[in-house]
Amino acid sequence: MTERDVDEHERHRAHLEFLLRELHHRVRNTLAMILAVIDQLGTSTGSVEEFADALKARISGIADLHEALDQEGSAEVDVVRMVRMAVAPHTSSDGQIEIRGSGGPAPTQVAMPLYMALHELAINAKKHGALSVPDGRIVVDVGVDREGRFLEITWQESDGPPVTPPERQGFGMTVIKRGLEYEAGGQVELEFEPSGLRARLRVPLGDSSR
Amino acid sequence: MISERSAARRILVVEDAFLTAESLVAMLGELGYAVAGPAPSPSAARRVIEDERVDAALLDVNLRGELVTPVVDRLVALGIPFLFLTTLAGLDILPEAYRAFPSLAKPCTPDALQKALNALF
Repeated sequence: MTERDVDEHERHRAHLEFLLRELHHRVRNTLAMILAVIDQLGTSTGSVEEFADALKARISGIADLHEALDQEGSAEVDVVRMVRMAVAPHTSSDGQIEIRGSGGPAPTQVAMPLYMALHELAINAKKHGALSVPDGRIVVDVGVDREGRFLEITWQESDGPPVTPPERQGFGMTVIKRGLEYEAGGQVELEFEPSGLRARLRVPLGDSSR
Repeated sequence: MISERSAARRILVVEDAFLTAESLVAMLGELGYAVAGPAPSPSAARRVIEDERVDAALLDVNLRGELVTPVVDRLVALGIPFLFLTTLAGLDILPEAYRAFPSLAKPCTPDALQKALNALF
């Protein structure tokens, strides 16, 4: 081996070491997040079966998001695709969800908390709302405000059982209302209309929130 | 008489992941600490430090792409002890001069957190 080969080999080895360390970092962060989910689900679910189902739904959701980030090169994720990904596992037929408009790509920093909020909305719809009956429907309008600074999403459920506001704020409502605000400076308004839940999400696309 | 409230040390939590931050807040509460924050960004953490009593801090290193180092500088200037709560790769992205401060591997157990905090005071 020449000296140049040795240098090349050394650089390659250092790069692999860096990647491996980064991988360990991400694994630990993901495990920290799952531990946190367990912590908080534990305080808001009743039976062991209910807890196990709730936990499985969250872990599947996190896995789906990583799959999408992986496919799109981990820089950004298309918003419409993200809505579909969050809702599809919880529908009984394709006709239950209609997505209008386009939000373009969401930066990674926004993608994670936005997806978590959408996924919790879908889980809530499956448990209490439009996705709990075969004829229930969700229409999601996706768009960006005129200046291109905010992503705006309206989630409208219909044809489900009559809606009543929840008596207490469980895991899902906490993530929907506070997670998006904490992680991305987003705002979420929930209207529990008897004909169906309406949620309006507004998320800054740049750094305007900080 | 010292009330229980004023006796509890007040720990600032700086962590960008909402659920992880909420868990840390709950864990600190169970260990008998009061909590400042949580703060998701260096600027939010700086505001808490200026406005509220902080006896010690738990710091994530990478806050949505921003390094936590300005927070470290302020804490050092004020003589407030802190711990990095991160991974080896998290410490790697810190400039050399910051790597010698105490750190705890994330995720951590309540016992490990209690021990690490005890060592600060």
